[in-house]
Amino acid sequence: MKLGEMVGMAAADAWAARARSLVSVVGIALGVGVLVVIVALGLGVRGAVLDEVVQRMPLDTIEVVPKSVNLGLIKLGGGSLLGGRVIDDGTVTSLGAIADVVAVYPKLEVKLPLGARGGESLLGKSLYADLFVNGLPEELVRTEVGVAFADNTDYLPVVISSQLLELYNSSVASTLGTPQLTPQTLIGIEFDVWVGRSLILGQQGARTTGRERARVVGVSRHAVKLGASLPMATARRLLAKYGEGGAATYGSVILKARSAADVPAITRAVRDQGLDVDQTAQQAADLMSGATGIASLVGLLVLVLAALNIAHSFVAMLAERRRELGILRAVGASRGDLLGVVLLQASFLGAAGGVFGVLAGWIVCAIADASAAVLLPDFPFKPKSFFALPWWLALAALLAAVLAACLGAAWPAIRTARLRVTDALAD
Amino acid sequence: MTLLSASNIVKEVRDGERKARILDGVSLELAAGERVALVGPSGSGKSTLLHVLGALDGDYTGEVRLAGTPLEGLSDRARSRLRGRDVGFVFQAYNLVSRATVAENIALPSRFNGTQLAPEAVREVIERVGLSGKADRRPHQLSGGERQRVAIARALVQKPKVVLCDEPTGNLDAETGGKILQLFDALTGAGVALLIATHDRAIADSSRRELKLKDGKLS
Ligand SMILES: Nc1ncnc2c1ncn2[C@@H]1O[C@H](COP(=O)(O)OP(=O)(O)OP(=O)(O)O)[C@@H](O)[C@H]1O
Ligand SMILES: [Mg+2]
Repeated sequence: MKLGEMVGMAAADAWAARARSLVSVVGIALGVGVLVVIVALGLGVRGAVLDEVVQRMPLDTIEVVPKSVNLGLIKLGGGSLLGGRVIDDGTVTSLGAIADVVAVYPKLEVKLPLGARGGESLLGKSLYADLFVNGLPEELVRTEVGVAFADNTDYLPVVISSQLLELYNSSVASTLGTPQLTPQTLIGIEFDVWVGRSLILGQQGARTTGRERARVVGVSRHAVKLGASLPMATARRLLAKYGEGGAATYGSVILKARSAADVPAITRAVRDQGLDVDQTAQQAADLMSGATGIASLVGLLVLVLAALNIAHSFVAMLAERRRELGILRAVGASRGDLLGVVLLQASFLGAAGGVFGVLAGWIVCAIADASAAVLLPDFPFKPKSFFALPWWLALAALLAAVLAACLGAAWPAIRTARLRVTDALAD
Repeated sequence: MTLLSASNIVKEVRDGERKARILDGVSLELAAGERVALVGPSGSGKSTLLHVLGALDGDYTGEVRLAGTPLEGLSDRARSRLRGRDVGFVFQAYNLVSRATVAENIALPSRFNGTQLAPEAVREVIERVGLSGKADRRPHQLSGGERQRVAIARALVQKPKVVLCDEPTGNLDAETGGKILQLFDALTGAGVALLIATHDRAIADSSRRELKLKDGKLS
């Protein structure tokens, strides 16, 4: 039997049993819809967490940190505290020597007791707070901030963490009623940095005290989370001027690999050196994927029910058509022909259910997003969309729908194809 | 040239605890261009024998050769191909697809055997069985005799080598039956082997040979 004939016959059969077909299609669409919404939610939230909260790095980039005890998303202690290795200039050099590492971006720890005073222009009153500072390679931040992130004798150019800004806007600002901040409103703001005047450390760690003028030059995802980051040259200048002259240490080092494929080997080499690779993003991703996987089981369950419904419907339909199918066999249809026609009919129903299911799921996602935007209060890292429906998810859902329909129809189809011609005609 | 041969066909069915022998050692031969009548009382096994010869029923012992091909041991695909192309079968119960039109029913075999059937070929065979103008009717809109003629047309449309007819004129008046007889003559004239199970004396008498079946045995 030619494929075209088979398709035509299967379509005609589906149409002839349209009431039954409709029920099957709705069942499949329901399962697919639930599956799509759940997976899209999982993907969406995962993406939001990784991009906004954890700020995952490009695939060809890893962040080397001192060994630490890692409890899921929470880290306990670092480096010297646990007797692990501290990252110093020697370490940075040996990290740079690892094969296929094309760039090394160390983050210099500025171990000085610092306090910051300022903010009246923005917040209405002046605040004083301890300040944690580190130094970043200029080229690491250049894509975000531009040439303004370079050492400067007039002021300390600082960048603020983009995550800190988001946290401030979504919780502090709305709670305290202070205005929302954008990178644009922040740039150019100046404040005083007091060296040797920390509320906690006092003058401990500083050779001498002093005051510096700082100016915000931008916002960066690489900036230290609670504090301010300086260009490397500025940080070194500050340490030379006020520090007690100890060896430079680095909180972490970002390594850029030649390609993402080189990352596993580099990670191994890093571990061999007694250091660790920051896997917060990976762990968060795994956690979210696991949760999505479990939730998807619900969608799969609905799909299984839809397949059972198809099986039930096909058993009844094929029993009704027993004699007719016997006639087809008598005039030349082989078992394979009947099997093909019946399975094709099921896959049409599956495909239709899949298309409607994906569409319905997409609409539900859009409605949920629209309602969330209006109904949910602002919270940190609230994403614009909670859902991600990539093309491959739609395609996979469609395939799952066709597969479920075919699996459901398989047993009735095989049973029908096995029927003896004279038995079927005897009805 | 022998187009259809059977030797020592035995078919048994389970009848409660014991086995009933419906066909009991039937052997026959049919040559090209030959019309043979198969007669016998009701229940003697005529339909059963035709089903075996037409590759519709594989549950028997013995040997059948259809158009030179032994049926035993053929794959389902090959048997189906044979049914759809080399044998025409006219069922006692017509066996038309009720939701298909006359023309669609007649074209049905061509949908499975991969041949391209010209609409003219369907129209021609419809004319030959005297159903012109009824091509778009469905079986329930036809009389019994008309349905029988659709079944005949479907059996002939693929120009098979062997035609097996089970009571092809049972519902036809003398005049229409006569027309069908003329059609059969044309078929045998073209070299088709024709085996007709019938109670119709007119067919039996005009056939070259008559096979008498009784209790599953030929006499
Ligand atoms: N599936 C079956 N199971 C048991 N017995 C059967 C079966 N099919 C047919 N028979 C029996 O086999 C015998 C032959 O039946 P068959 O239909 O071949 O007769 P027939 O000669 O065609 O009769 P008629 O002239 O009435 O059409 C009958 O006695 C019938 O009851
Ligand atoms: Mg009979």
